[in-house]
Amino acid sequence: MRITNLLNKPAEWMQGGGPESDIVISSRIRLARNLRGYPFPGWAKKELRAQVVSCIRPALEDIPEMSGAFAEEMTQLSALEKQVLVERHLISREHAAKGPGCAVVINDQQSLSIMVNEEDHLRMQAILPGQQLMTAYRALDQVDSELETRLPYAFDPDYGYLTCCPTNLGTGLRASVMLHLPGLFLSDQMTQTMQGASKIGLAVRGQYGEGTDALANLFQISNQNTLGAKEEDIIAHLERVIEQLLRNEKNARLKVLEDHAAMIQDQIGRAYAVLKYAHIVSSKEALTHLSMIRLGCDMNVFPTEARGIVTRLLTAIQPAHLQITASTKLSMEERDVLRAEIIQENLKALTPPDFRGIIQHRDNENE
Amino acid sequence: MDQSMKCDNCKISIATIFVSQKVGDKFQKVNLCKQCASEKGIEDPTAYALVEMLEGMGKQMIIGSGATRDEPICPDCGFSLTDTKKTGRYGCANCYQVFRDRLDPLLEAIQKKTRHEGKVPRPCDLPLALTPLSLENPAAIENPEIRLSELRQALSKSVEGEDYEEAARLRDEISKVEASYKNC
Ligand SMILES: [Zn+2]
Ligand SMILES: [Zn+2]
Repeated sequence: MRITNLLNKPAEWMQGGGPESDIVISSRIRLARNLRGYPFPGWAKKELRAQVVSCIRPALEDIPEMSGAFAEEMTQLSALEKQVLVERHLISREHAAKGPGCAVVINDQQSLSIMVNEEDHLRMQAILPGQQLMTAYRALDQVDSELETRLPYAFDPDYGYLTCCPTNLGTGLRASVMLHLPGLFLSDQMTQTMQGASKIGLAVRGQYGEGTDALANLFQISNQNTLGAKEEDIIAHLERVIEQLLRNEKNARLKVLEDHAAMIQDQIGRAYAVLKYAHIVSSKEALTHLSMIRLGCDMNVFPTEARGIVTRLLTAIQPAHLQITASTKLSMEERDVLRAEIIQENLKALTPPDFRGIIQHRDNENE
Repeated sequence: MDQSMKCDNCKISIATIFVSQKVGDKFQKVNLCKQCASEKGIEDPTAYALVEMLEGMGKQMIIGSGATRDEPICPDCGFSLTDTKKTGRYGCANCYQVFRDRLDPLLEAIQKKTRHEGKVPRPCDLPLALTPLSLENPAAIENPEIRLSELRQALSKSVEGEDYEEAARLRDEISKVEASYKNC
């Protein structure tokens, strides 16, 4: 596959959908693996990194799950192309900054992506829309099992998969979900939620933001420990916490609706007005309002179909995506104009907010 | 909105990243805002870069800097105990053998559990021409046979030139490559 084909096609997770997709945007599983006999990438000379790539690439191209995949050296990608992959969560920011001897392999649906010589020789990821942690794990586990017969993994019976950093030791597994939590945020419960999660070995952080708050009310929650539990148990623990969080979020939304109905209606109405009619929209403004449109979809103020459009826009309005769409480098001012255009175009069919739905939503949920 | 949890670094913004990290000899909870965390290059919430940040050592991983005379060094990759302490990382898989005795206390602090319970890979049955790495001669990993013939040529040259110190080093190197080739 060529990079342009990949960039022109949105990743599967960006289309929205999947179980619990009203609150859960995406599920991600990451596995860290290393090869015996080579220093870890950060401590390896360029030649050794290149050798690791030349071991791993043929092995990856050999397995059925990655047939027809996009595979490229990082040095062969432009800064903009790499940034698009970062915005799609297919590679890390660190990997985008890597020089020679580093590569990336991405499957056709962009649900599997493999970084070669990031912090570990292999950082493999599966990303799916909605709450599909276990499905994502099964898919990635399959890739891992195919690879383990083709590559000599660094493994120790006591300590498991050996990783550059001992924080990833054991399973090398990081499971995370991206959640839309406007209810918990608007009802001032986010700090409490984060502290609670950290007490039970989970990390919560804002997905986007510049200091003070999480833009678009998007939060990422993931396991902190990787050693001393089975992969399935790590994921099951996270799933139980997510279930609880979903209940809390739904209750928080009802409570905000009870206590501050006018405020919610105002924010949704303003979001509609700005996104439908503004001609210059900053990234921050767009994210804030898209979150409210999404909440509106969940509360029957807008048709539920609009939820998928909002999810896709969350990524489509990011700077690198805008510049790929425009096929040219854009200044910040030019980006704000194009962002407004793209949002207007996508929301063209969106009908005005109908707040009768909100009352119905509340009554349904209360039953 | 919520004001109760401030960032430990800037003390202004609300912390959205919570990690338990080693500072000096102790582990403590560190709360950071998104901006401070990303400025310090902390993408992974459990990243060790925090250690350096809090000790004011800057963002870069310090490599190969501080091996003192008598400390253990990984024979495979040259990483020293000081390096592992400074970076919180290891140089290669073999480092986990070399620095094994200090691993469990570290893992108790950062992982709580100290033994692997998860997946075990099936043995890799394909004869990959991987030999233990050598920092001095990275080419040895490419193809042991080519490497061996190169080494033997260099050996006869150094014997001719009466450079016996180099010859001894090459002899050691040859037996190392031979041994690892056989065990592959
Ligand atoms: Zn801060
Ligand atoms: Zn080592």
